Order: sequence, then structure tokens, then C-alpha cells
Amino acid sequence: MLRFQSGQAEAFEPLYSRYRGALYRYFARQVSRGNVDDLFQEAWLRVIRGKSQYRPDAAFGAYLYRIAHNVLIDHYRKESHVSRPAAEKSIDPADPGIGPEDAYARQALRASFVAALETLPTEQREAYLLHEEAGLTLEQIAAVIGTGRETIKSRIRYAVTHLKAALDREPQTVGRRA
Amino acid sequence: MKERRNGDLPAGVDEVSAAYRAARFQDTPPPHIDAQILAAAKRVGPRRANQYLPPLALAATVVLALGIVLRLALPGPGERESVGSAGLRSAPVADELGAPMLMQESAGTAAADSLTAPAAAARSVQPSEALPSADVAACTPAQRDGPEQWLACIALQLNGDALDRARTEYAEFTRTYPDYPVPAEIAARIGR
Repeated sequence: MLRFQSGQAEAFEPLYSRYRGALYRYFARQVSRGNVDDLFQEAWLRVIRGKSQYRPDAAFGAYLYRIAHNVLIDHYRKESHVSRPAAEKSIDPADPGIGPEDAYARQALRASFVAALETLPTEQREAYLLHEEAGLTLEQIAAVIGTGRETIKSRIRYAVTHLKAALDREPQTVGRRA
Repeated sequence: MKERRNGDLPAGVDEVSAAYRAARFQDTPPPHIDAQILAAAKRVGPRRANQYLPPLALAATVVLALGIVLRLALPGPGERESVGSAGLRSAPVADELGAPMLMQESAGTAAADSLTAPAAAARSVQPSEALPSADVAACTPAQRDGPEQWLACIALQLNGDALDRARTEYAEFTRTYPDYPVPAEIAARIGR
């Protein structure tokens, strides 16, 4: 990011490649399919336009998700409601190199996960995704969302409990998959 | 990305994380979004890096041009000296306003005055217009005829760094006009 910040445009591409998938899924798990592309693009454009604001004292991942969180909040305000992802709208490509049964099972697990995530309160879902998908620490998540570490820990605890219970009710349960 | 681990998180996190990874969410942005974002980064990158160069170049050009114009428009030390000397020679008698007050006037005004009213040029020399001491003439008898003119002449000598000559003139002046009120600036510069 520092190289990109200093004017080396080519330094952006590896940065983008590294974070694009996780950031896209961060949005995909929280908003409706029709909004994912726009929010994803908006987040990156804010990174690009505001590159001079980046300070190396923060990890780029935390910085990126801070921007993404703000994009999400702006979206919620604009929509005046929380748009949820639809479980039936799979946006995953087909799994390569696995048999039809495994592919079906994996697809079913994804659908179960998406459905379970959908029922989570917004704050818990975002905290969980920042933990699971973005790989941020509790401290980083707290900084991204702008709340305390213990609050984040509590949100993740509730989310995990809820997800585990939801997945246990499904045929592709946690204990029987993977 | 998975740099954190779950030691500080509740039981079950690892289990749910394993299920999340097993689900292998692979959704990624469509290629046209990738292309748009990368293009935006390329557009912004180089331009932002050089964003200060054009205004800096413009500012440097303006400053340079201004410097040249000022240098051409304002008379240099040599020119001012000749103006002052010419004024002295053509109009040795300062007018009644007296030197101390007249020393406030500008060189530009003095140059203009010297063309239209030669007598006024005598009052045009300012403290900053240092005349070389060799060129500072002794006060003429006509200047010594009146205290104001004489003091004006002494002021010119002081301005021309002819301190010794000014002191001599000043001593002569105080002998001739012992009670005449001397401007404080002249007295201070004479050092007496």
C-alpha cells in the first residue's frame, strides 16, 4: 500500500488480488446480490481515492475493512433497512475437481451457512465475518467497527453459538462435514 | 489472512470455522468489476504522484517573471546614485520642507521629480540610498546660507556614508547656528 501511495500504480494489483475475494464475500454475506458489486467497487474506489490517508501504523486489512464497514453503513442508511443476502442466490462458481455428490454436499453446506448467517443480527454477522472471512483480530474488529473489544468478543460468541445450533439442525452439520 | 487464532474466543469457534472453510465460499467479483477497479487505480496512481509538479512549476515561473520585472522596473543602486547626484548638482538648494521629512519619499518619486522639477530632486535622497563617500560633495556656500539647507546637505553626506565630512560640516553648523534645533536623527547619526 505504501508503494501505491507513493505513486507506483502497479503496486495496487497484488494488493487487490490478495484482498478482493474476502472483501467480496464480506459484502456478499451481508447485502442482497444486486448490491454486492456496487458496494465492493465503492470500497475499492475509496481506497484508491483516499490513498494519501492511509497510515502505515495500521495493517492494510484493518484499514480496508474499516472503509468497507463505512460503505456498508452508508448503504444501510441509504436503503433505510438491512438488505439480507438470499440463501437461494448462489454466486459461487462450480467446484472444480470434485464429484457431483461432494459438490452437492458442499453447495448444501454453503446454503445452510448463508441461511444461518442471514438470521443473525447485523452486528453479530459483521463481527463474525470480519473474524472468519477477513481474518481480523478482536482488536482490529473493534477498531473497524468502532466499539470495544469485549463487545466484539460477545458478538462473536453469540454468532458462533447461533451458527453452530443452526448448522447442527442441517443434514450437513459441522461435525459431519469437512 | 488467518493470522488470528481463537484462544480468546468461546468454544465452538474453531468448529464453526472449520465448517465455514469446508463450505468453501468462492464467490469473487466479476471480471468487469476487477477491470474497472484496476483501471481506476492506474488512472489515479501516476497522476496523484505528480499532482504537485504543475502548480509548483507555475509558481516558480511566476516568481521568476516577477523578479525580472521588478529588477527592470526599479532603478538599481547605480542609477539611484546618479539621480541623486544629478539632483544635487542641478538644484543644490533644498526646499523649505527640510531634509528629515523629505527623506521619507521614494526613489521613484525622486526620479520623476528630477525630470520636472530639478529643485525637488535635492530632497529625494533616502537613508537607504547610500552614496559612495568619494562622490559626496562638500556643502556649498549656498547650502550653508540657511540652516535647513545646510542640515539637508549634512543629511545627504550621512546617507552617503561620508561620516567624517558630515561631522565636520555639523561642527561648523553648530558653531554657526548653536541654538538651531537639529533633528534627532541627524544628531544621533553624527554621534554627538
